[in-house]
Amino acid sequence: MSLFSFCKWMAEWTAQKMLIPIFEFQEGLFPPFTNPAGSIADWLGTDGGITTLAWLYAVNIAFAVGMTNLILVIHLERKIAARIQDRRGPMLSFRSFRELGEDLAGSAPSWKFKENYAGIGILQNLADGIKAIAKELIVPAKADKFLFTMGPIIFISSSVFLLVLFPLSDRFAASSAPAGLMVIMAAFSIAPIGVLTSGWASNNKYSMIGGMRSAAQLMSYEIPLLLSMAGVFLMAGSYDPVVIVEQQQASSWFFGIPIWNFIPQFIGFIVFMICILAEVERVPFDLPEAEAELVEGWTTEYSGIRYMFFLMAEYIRGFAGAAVATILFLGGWAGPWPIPPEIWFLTKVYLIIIFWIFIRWSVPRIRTDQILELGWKKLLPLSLINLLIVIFMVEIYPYFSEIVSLPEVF
Amino acid sequence: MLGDEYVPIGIFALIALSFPVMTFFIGRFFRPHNDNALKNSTYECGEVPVGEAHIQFHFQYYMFAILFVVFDLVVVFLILWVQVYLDLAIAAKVVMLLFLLLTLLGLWYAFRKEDVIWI
Repeated sequence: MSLFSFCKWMAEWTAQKMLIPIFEFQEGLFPPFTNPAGSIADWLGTDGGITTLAWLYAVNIAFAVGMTNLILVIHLERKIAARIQDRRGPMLSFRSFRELGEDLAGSAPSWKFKENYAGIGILQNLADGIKAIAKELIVPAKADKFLFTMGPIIFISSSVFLLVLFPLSDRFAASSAPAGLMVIMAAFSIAPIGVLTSGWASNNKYSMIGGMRSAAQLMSYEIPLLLSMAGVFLMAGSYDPVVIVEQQQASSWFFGIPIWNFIPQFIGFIVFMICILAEVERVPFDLPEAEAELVEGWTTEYSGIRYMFFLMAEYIRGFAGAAVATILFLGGWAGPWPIPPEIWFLTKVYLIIIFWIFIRWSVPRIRTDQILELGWKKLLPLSLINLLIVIFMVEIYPYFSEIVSLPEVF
Repeated sequence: MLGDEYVPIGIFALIALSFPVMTFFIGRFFRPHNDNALKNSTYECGEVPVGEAHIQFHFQYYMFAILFVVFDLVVVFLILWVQVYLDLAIAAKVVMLLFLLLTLLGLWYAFRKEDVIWI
């Protein structure tokens, strides 16, 4: 049962039992105010209405799953970072609610550290969220007010938009667009505009330099990124994530074992991993917010919930970037049978994210001219070589499969 | 209907757009608002801010920016070409590879001159 058919069943049920009676009652109550385009109750009875409602449910389920994963990613980042720095990281447990209750009741909290701070610390995210929403939003007097408000909206909404675009498996997919990966890359490349906008609008020198660095970074990684993806599109002949994963699973000339794209296109895989790391602005490439050089880079003047959402959006982009890498090169949701495909997909995504977290605390940041050199003089030729290798492989493949005609072992 | 698969993407684009807008709006009821001239001044590590940041910025890498505009278009053509590659005639493949070769020659020439242009 796919996500969409489940949502369709749910949409039919809710429409019949709840929505149609409610809208009929409302339309009976206010006859002069009925919708001139037609009654909503009638529209919900048709197939189109049910399908739209089902899609609404599907994107909301995918959004909820994505947000749950986001909390886990932030938690993993904190815990692994703490372990690398030889400390424990957040340890807040559910027992600490008792302190909160005592505090609210007016009595002095009994600080029982050994009991209250011995959990896994996932509540720290909740505490941070509450803290951020209760903080003041400061707009600098010299800032461009309109663009200062629009920049975060562009950046955050384009990042949140990424959450439903990739499927977790061929059945758990909120959107099954044939040009899925192109839509993902389009949504990815909106964000530097938001960075540049908010960096310029802050009227702060650090923000300005951060925004300009974001533009330089975009210039250096965007072309090798798309060229390294081109090899995968060529093998699959499609932009559809489902088709790409099926193609990787079908290419089994090596004793029937599926050869995922990262083996024949190893150069492309390396180039793609470097470029997607630059795209999601994680540490060796976090030039726009270089907290050692520029204060907080382009987010210097932002405070409260806006700043918290910037951090959240960066982790969403990290998660989506790892998901794209998994779909393109690591076989997506394919894996041995007893474990469901969604778990396989998330396992691969989390392995990539853990690898990135290790990189974050291991390597220094690179300079602006270095990233331009790297992008144009090293990654671009390498991605073109990868594309030529793929073209060569595709051209000789018919002969190759005739020569190597191996028996089906598995 | 053509493009049926893109309807959920459209629906979620609206949800994603309204997510930060609604959160910023709802947060208005939870957060304090104490204006203060010192708080609203530009942050410059505690110093009194000097001048504006809306200046003519020295754009050091404009050479790469020009190349980027050209190559972004080349990549758009290339991405469309690779999707239908398996069904193409041999002439279409060769022509596209020649086009790529020509642009790469231009890129090579630009990088040879880059040492002069780079400031």
